[in-house]
Amino acid sequence: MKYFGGCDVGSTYAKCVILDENGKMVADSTVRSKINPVQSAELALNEALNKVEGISSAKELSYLIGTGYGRNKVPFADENISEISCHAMGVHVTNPEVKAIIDIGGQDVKGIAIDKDGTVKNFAMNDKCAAGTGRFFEAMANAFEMSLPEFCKLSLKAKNTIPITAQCTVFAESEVISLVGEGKPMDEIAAGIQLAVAKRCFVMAKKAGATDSITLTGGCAKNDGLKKAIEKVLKIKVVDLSVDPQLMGALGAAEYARQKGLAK
Amino acid sequence: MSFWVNKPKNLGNLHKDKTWLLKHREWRGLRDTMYDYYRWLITWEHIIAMTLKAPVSTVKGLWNYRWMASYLSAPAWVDRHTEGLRGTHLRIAHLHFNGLVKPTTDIINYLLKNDKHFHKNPKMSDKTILVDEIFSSELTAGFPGLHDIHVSTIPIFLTSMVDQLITQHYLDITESYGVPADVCPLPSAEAGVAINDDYPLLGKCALTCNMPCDGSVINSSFIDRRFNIPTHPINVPLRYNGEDVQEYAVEEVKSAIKFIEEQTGVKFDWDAFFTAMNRYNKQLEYELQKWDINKTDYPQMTGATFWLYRLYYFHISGGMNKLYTKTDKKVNKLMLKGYEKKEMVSKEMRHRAIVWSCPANYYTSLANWLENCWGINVVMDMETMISYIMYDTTDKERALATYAKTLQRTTMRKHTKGGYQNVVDELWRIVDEFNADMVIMYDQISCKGMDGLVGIFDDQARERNIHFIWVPQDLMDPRTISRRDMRENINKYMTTVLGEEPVDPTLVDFDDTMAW
Repeated sequence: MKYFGGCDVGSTYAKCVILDENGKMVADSTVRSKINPVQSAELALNEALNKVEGISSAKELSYLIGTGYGRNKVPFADENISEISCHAMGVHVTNPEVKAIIDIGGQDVKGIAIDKDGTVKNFAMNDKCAAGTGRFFEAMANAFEMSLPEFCKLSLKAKNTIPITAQCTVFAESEVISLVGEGKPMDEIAAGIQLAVAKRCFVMAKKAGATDSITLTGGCAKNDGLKKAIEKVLKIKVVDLSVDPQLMGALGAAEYARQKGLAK
Repeated sequence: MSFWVNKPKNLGNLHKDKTWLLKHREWRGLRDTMYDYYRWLITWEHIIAMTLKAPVSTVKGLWNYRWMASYLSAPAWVDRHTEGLRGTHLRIAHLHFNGLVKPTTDIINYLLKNDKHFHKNPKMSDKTILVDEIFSSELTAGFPGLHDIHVSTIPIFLTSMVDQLITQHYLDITESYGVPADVCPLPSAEAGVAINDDYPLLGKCALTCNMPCDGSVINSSFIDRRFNIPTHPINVPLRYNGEDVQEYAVEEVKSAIKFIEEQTGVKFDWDAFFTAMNRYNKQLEYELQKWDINKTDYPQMTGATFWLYRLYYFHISGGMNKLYTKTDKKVNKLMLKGYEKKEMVSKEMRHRAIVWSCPANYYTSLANWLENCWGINVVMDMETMISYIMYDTTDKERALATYAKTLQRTTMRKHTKGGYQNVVDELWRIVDEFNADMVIMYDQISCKGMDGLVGIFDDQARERNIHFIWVPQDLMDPRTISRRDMRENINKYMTTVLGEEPVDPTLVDFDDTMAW
């Protein structure tokens, strides 16, 4: 049996997926990124390889593709492909009905429109500002003195939404602290934060030409409060994926590796 | 055989990492290499002649003004815009650049010889009128014996194009002075030059204008305080398409004439004004011919050189400098010949692109990279499409009316003022006229002017099936978005959306953060 790998070195997490020649996912891993992307890639790959019987090193994979912001630093990759292409392909192989993605990573937000064959039709991205990214939520959870999972669920309880005017991470943090100081309900403030980010994601999705059948990928896709807010802003139901949405980049890379490896 | 004809030029291998200095000059075949080298020597000749004409002043300038040293890298600036070019295209680019370099050295010479920082009573200072950088000089041509100087153009506007590293110092000065860091870096850097006292000090009086934005207006106050000479603002109407504002626009021009007459004691000379206008009209005729050739399947003038040249002569010459009509005559002859011979500007012309919105001063040669790396030929851009109204010289009132209309349609102003149709509808008209399949859309992140139109651009581009590539940039500050970041956006679009292979893989990704 031949195996194919995809390694997505993101700014906060490194992910790895291994597929067999039939496209079945045989292993995956998600590890917190190190300061050195080479180390992050190696950690993620080794963890995934440990789950596959019969192979112990990258050399034994038929083909491996690196993606993510640190893709150029994946030492064992046969090739690098941008994370935009990989996310599109990852979602396409998981659910071919999905036509658009909002990818919220640790440090950027992307809107991606997918073509019929899983290639990218168009994309828009914000990678110059931490607003509306995973880092933003980490900062907000910090301000609330909560863990990230707790914060992500907080807004689901809210009956009202307190609008947050500042979308800049720094300004939003001080605005949130002021609101907490005024004694406003925490869940309603959290709902305001989720809505502010959802609006930002909406702009990215619109910019990329996304209209219907949208899904979320990236670490923030696991944020239920954000998902609910995006559904409210977009006025459509966000499609749930059967595979961990944080793995979509690595899965897409592995699928590209499978296609290229088999065509070799 | 086809491998040798189509093999990549590998231009990336010519440069050193980070500084992007040339390891050696590009080999373009014997004739083109010799021509390019000859032109390189001419650029140096202009710089050396400038020094020899006023050696003491030049040394003082180099010693006192940080921006002066940047001009020593002008030959490298020309090289960046001519890289990869061959034959007619190479010759046209060099001729255009000569129209930029020669007058610049003359103006620097004039500035330094009449700078009150270095001389007690400079001869021409009281015969100099300072004007805003996007002012059209035909009006001051009506005062023979007086000279106009576009106050920010030489010290910072043009310098920032020649040397991407120069603005950072002036931006930091402005921020240290208390101006917020999110102000547009263009007026911010210009204010920094004023705060640092790096403007050559000369002039009897000054004309400012309310264009193109509030940042620019605020900057005028910094400059006003530094020069401390009588200043008169020309307030140009915003909704310039309306005929009902034209009377007011003409009155503003008349008030400027009156102001100069009062300050300098020189009477406005209508004959000199008409002469400059007629010369400008001739230049404009040549300009329109160039555009016509670029609309065909055989464009002869792609890249960034033609907008740089157009911007420069439109504002600086004011129909006074005969060099431009001479250059245009030569260029047009070459273009026509190239068109008749069906010459291709580059071997792989994959896309015909329009560049829209204001380009980054720190990366004027992006269009050249687009062509060399991805086969994207820029056939027209927003900066070139400033006013193309012919001056009416049949009588004084008509002349002033057409001058006022031109002033309302200068750089940036024409497309950012007067309603969305001036920037959105105008783009699609040009896309159609120039048969373009792609738009390179600059997203100047510190300018709010275009923000409200993003969705309209995107939706309409999709409807028209036009590839629309947004390129974020920060106009004068490469620290916010580097040249490499700008290229990365295009690389991503070309590989992920279009799935294309680069024409020259050595140019796809490189580090030029320390380059001029």
